[in-house]
Amino acid sequence: MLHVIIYIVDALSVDSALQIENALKELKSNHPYEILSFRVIPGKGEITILVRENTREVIDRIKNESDRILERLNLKIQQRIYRTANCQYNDTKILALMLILEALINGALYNPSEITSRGTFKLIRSLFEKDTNFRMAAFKIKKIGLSKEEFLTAMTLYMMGRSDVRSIVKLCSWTLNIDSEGVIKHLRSLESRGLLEIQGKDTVSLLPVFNTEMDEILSILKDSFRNFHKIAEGVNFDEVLKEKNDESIYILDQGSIKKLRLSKVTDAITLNPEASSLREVLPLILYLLTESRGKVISKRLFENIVSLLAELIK
Amino acid sequence: MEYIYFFETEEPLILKFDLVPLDELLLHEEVIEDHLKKLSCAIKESGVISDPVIIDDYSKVVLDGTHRVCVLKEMHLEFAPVVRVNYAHNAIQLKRWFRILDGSEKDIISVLNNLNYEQVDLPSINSDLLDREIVIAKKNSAFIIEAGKNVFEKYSALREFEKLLRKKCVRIDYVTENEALESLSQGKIIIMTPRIEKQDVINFAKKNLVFPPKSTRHVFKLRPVFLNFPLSLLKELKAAPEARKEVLREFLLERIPLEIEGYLTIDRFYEEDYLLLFV
Repeated sequence: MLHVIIYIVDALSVDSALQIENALKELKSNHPYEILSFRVIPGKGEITILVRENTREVIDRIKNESDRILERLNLKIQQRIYRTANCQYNDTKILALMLILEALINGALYNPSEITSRGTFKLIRSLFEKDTNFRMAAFKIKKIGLSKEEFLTAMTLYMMGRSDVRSIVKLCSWTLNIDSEGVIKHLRSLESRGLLEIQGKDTVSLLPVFNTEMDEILSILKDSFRNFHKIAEGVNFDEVLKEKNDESIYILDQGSIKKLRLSKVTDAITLNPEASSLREVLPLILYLLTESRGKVISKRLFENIVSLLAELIK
Repeated sequence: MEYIYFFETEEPLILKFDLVPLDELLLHEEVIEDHLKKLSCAIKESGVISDPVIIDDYSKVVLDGTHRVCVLKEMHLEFAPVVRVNYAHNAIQLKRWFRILDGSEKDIISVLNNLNYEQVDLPSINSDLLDREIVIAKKNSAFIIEAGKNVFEKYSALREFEKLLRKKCVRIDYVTENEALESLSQGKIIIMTPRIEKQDVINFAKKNLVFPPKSTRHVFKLRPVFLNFPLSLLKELKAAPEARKEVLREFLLERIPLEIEGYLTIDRFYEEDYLLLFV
């Protein structure tokens, strides 16, 4: 169960907002499990704290400590609202994995689109196709006989486990860039093939047999990533990097958007000894940044994609 | 980006978040100048559009957020953060704003005398008539204003009536139906406004005919609030309008959507069953 504490205080100056943010950061570091997130909106005097239920005592302590922070900063509390909350998580980690998988199976297993016919992706695909594990995963996916969208919908369901329709729909629509009607169509198609079951009004899950199949495919694809450094050894990426380096993307970080040339991303990875493992998948990173998501990507998602790739190729 | 909600109805309510060009939006209500100025200052000070504008997905008529749209236009921005909804959905109710009049009874009656009206006993009025006509009520008496053939003309007459009242220094407070009826029982004079149908809102807006301020009151079973979309992002979109959906998608990805029970006062009273807010 989640709880939200909303404070409305007198309009905050930017300085006061920063002071509150710092104090709340400290409070969060003292309660890393309990405080999930917080947001301070300066001009509006609005402070929202999202708290995970532990014990009543902990929640009360967070409330009291938040009150004291505002008191210390001489802020008059106009309203304090305390409510339980239902949350539809934006699971950025699952989304990052789905995007990587989508990139991997896109074109390689299904009809290549115009986008995937470009050099960057062609190279990635040809490298993966050299790997026995990837070919085995490709064979298994083709055998199931689903469209790319249906397969990725099923994979999302697998990763989320038994879940409510709306969370599935949201994550699938974010991965596949389609609206909810499209996702529901794919869910219905999976249902008509007897691959998933719907319990009650809005809970769906894959049937156990299909779940096992998904488990196998995902684990084979992960093995394929682990082998990647061997396959990519000695491959000259210069040509594909040249293709991408002149392009730019927009990184969205909280309320601001920054234009970033991809050559900077390339430099950050190729020139940083700590990121040496990522050099092998640099073309894949560039593909994910520019083609799979369009030209804008949230910083959080970007970081998740990079750290997940680093983990996968370990 | 879409958020789906299942209520007791068969059809789920889908909130479709979007950034749409301001010039595509149709307004159905006029603004209150004072309110517009206050909101404009608040938006400039906070640097965010707190709540998304709610629009009908099919007609692009603004259901909630007329003032926000006007502030964004004044700021020469091109896009607005909106939530597109199926207006026909049962989870969206169209209610009315009644008025409480605070001023001398003599002045109110003198203004009333400029209009055609029929005086009757309040209890004798049936609900159908109360839904169709402008009725000014005081204790047990009621004045049914005879004006206009359709609901738009009736509201236009109401606009003129209110102007005359203000000239006589009568204060007009806009309140919910229940609040007004409670005030009536306490001896206040109230105006009961005619019911507007959803189709009227769409049809008149399409003809660029706008109702006076505070004609419609939309209550959403689930109201999206506290999106706090930064003006800086809206300004950036000017340079890259083609990327606006991507910007919104990635912005939403950075926020945690929370559903909380409504019927609460935060910055104002929310009579919705649930609120969807973003932390």
